[in-house]
Amino acid sequence: MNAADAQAQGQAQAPAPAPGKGEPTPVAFSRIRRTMARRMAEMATIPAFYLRVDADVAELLELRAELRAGGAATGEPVPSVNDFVIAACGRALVDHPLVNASLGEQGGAVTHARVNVGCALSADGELLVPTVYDADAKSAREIARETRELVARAPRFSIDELRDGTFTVSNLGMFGVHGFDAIVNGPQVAILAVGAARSAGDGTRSQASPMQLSLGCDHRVLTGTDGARFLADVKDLLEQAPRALLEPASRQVAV
Amino acid sequence: MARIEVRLEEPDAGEELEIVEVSVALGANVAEGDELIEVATDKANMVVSAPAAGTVAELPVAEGDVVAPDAVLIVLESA
Repeated sequence: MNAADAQAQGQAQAPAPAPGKGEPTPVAFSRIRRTMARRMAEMATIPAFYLRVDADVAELLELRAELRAGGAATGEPVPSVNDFVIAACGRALVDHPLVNASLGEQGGAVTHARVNVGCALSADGELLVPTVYDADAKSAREIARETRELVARAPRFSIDELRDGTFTVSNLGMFGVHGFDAIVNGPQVAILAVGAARSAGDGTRSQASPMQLSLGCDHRVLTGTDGARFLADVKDLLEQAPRALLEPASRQVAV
Repeated sequence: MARIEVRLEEPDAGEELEIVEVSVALGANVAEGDELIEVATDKANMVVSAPAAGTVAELPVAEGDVVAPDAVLIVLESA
């Protein structure tokens, strides 16, 4: 059988597909979602690059298991992995002012005296980024209380709760996503995307639990070295001293 | 009787508001802090609460309406 015969036979067996995409269904977006779409299009002009590291969160997961076991009686929320990440970023940002910055008007950058970490969350199909103010000074416990309360109220926020972020953390680990890159949330110059810990913490120290951190950086303000140094500090805080993140930040705490 | 015009007191709410939910009816008695109306802005949904106890005397908006950010959403009469 030659090629032409084969084609003829194939056509006889499978008629050409009917073209078309079916009945179109317009989807009306909410105001918040339209704002998101508009802002994302603006962000497309940011020359971003991405740095990815794995943080081993085995000790952190073990600590959470311990808190869950001990904390059920107190009613105190057990900080999520993301609450620890926010606390770690808050503390690391103090030492990396250029990451806690905005693009300057005439080139250059503007650094911010306060460390306010935006926490990307999804509620009723809306993407919202409420702000954890002064995250550098807060413990993961305090951040947990705040984020629980914010999640419970979403998408109902005051404007003050949504403004003045100086850095953003986005986490899709709860969906099993092991890593992703996030769009830099301008005028901020960096965003951390957090994936899932890739092996279940079973309480044994022998097992590593790598969790991907991807730092998106605006290259107009940050160099690869700037981003890499900051990311290494976040990784160290999560790996070496998760217990210290449970206490309010003290610059004297040894890591 | 004092007449209280209730607005969304939020100077940065954007260009317009959409009325998402009206939780009270004309003539209803409300206590200070009761949730009256939920509005959608471009940035978030916000709940407008009663600034004082009173009776709903006027209800110029309905669910789905799009109004100016400083529009009167409800008028209360306090005793």
